[in-house]
Amino acid sequence: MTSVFSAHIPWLALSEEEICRAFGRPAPKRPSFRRVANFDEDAITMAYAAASQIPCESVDKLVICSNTLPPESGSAYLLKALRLPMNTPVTVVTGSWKCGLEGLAIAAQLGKGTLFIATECLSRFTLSQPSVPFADAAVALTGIEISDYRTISSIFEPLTVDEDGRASIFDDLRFSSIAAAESVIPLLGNGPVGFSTFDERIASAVRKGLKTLEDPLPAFGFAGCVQPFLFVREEGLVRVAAYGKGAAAMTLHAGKVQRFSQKSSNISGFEKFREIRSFMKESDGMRATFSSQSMLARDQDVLLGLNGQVCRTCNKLFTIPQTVCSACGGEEGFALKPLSHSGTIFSFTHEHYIPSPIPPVTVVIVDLDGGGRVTVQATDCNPSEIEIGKRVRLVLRKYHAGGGLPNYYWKAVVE
Amino acid sequence: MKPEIAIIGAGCTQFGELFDKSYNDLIANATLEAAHEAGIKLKQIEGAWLSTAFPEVGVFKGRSGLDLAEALGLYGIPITRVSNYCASAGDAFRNAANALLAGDVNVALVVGVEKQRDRSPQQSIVKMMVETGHPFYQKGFTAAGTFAVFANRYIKQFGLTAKDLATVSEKNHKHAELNPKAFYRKSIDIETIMKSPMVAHPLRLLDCCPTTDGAAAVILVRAEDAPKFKNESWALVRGIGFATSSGWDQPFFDSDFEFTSFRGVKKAAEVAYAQAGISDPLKELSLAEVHDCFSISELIIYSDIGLCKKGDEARLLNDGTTRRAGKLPVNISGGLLSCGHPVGATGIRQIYEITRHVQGKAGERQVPNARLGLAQVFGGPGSVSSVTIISKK
Repeated sequence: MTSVFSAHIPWLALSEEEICRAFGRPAPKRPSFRRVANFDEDAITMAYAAASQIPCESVDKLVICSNTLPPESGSAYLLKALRLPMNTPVTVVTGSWKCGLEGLAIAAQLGKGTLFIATECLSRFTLSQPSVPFADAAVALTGIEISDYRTISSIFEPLTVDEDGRASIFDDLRFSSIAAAESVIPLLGNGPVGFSTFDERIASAVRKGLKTLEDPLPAFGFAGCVQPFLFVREEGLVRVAAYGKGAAAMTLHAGKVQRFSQKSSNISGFEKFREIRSFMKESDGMRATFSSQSMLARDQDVLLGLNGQVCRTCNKLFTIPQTVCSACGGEEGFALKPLSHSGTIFSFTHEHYIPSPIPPVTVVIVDLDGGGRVTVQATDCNPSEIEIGKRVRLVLRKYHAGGGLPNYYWKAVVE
Repeated sequence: MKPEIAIIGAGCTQFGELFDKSYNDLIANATLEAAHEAGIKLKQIEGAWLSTAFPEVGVFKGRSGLDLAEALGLYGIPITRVSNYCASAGDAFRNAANALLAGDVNVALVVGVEKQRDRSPQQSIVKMMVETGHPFYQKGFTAAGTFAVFANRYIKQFGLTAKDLATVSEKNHKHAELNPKAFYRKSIDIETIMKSPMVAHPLRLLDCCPTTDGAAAVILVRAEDAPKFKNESWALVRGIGFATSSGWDQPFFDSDFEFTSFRGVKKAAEVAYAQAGISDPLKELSLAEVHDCFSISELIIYSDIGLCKKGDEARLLNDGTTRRAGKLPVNISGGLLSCGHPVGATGIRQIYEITRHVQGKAGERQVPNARLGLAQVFGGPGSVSSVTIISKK
């Protein structure tokens, strides 16, 4: 299995300058940004975004690392959306900022056919602790090869977050991260190292005398367990280390790197960021929207699996659930057919009266390659980018929080 | 085909923001006007049909025929509540006509009524689109959006312009100046319409019908019984076409759906024309009341009811054919754009309107020598539709 590496960096960017302005702090010395999830993203949708860019046909094991998997959701949605069998063994690794490296070590041991995903959706913690550059991202790897893996655990942790969304920094405990990093990094040898941290002071202390890889922190922010992987920019050997209740380090053999750079859109200010973060949870319309677990489960192959239904009598393709064939009257039932995730816009509109933190809501009618039509919302785009005839790709997003469920379905992004 | 149904009485309330009128008040107002015209007492009604499409959006009235019974004290007779999206009224009318023809009843009452303004407009239909329906299919659409996608195809395929859309609105608002029962009774100029806030691109606020209250009622008998009643100028029903086509979600997931035609409308019109013996509607019809829920809808209906070829609708509008002084005035009442769309009531309001014109009793807005009129409503993306042809006695 060839080694493929893919990253999903969210479209939205929040600048440090905006945060400093909102909190009355002096502007940062150099421009820095945090890439943050759109209102329709979470750790699961970002995991899909990263993993969908790499071939998954011969995947038979999944390792997923995250400190921010939504409790009402789970890997079942991911398996269905990636068209992996529901009996795929899944290992979830969590517990510290270094859990991404710990998870990759496990994935390497599980061997061929393992899909590794690290995903983190930390930006909501910015609301409680704006000085930490919390950010969101996801990466996926197959064909995993690592070497020189070392890990050390420590009771001390300078950056904690609790379930209620409160992040705390313990300034005096920085020494522990520095010590832990210094105990594992030298074992990686003499090449340049990417050391993942949220804090400049820890970084500069550890990097003294080290050759370092370009730090993703100023461009992307701190994406928790995903962070060490953001040092991977091109094929080859990459030495990475991450702190987190101790520290871990390894050399990663990165193969083909896909979809790393991504166009971005700056959020206009901290207030807008606050609206985006609270929209799903607090918006009236979004919780009151009808949804049903039994309905979503019953239709999961058509909805999440993006399968069409082909009439066994006349072969006509339908893209929503059918009973009797409306074309031929056939009663022999329907066979599932996987639909393409790529297509062309047939028509569209921009809705100004549908609740959204970033209006308008764009709805597009998409003709999928190889057959089938779907009507979905568009996301991660400006209205001016939408035209009849443009190419789009379907990505997994959260439509609303109706019924308290994670209502994942497809949205279109412009290619 | 020999006409078998007569309209011996028709009534219609003011359409608008009727904050001082309840659902029951609206029913009584429209029904009594119809009953007085027919010269009957309410207890002479033998069967009734109530058309209210979205009781949960308004005031939880109209879920059952019981709500009509309560409003009028019509106890002891069969009352059917009809719900078929925006085609409810036409469907109720059709069912009443069929019951008369079957001999099940001899005097039928059809009432269309909707009380939408006991809530704000955002709390009614928009909220319904956000909170109900399939968890994903059509999520993100307002009703306007489901037609905006037709408009964008027309713009791409036939070169339709924003000005063409605005002209439908300008025409219907001008017509409504002469209709005392319309909600908006002032002319609005094209520039104002084209600068009004965007609702669902390319449809702007004034391309959309407002949210209003209203009711309309008709009293029907078999045609041979009409002379027994007081009203000497009854109207005759020449054809009723009703068709279900395409679906509610299905059209948005159907590669064969072109978003340039309302299939239900086309089919219903064919059936109604066949019954009425109409082969050239542009020539033979005196007036038409059609479902201009949004400006684009009226244009597409022109070709679907056979007035012109697909793509040619703007010409018919811009050369004045469908204006008051033109060959075939469309929506002389001001249409949904001026009266609003109390959903279950609209189809009966249209039938009331045509009835008044063929009776010669339409006042200032009377279409001269009106003999034959068409009333048309549809629901979904043109999926369920009713076309009713009414003539002078």
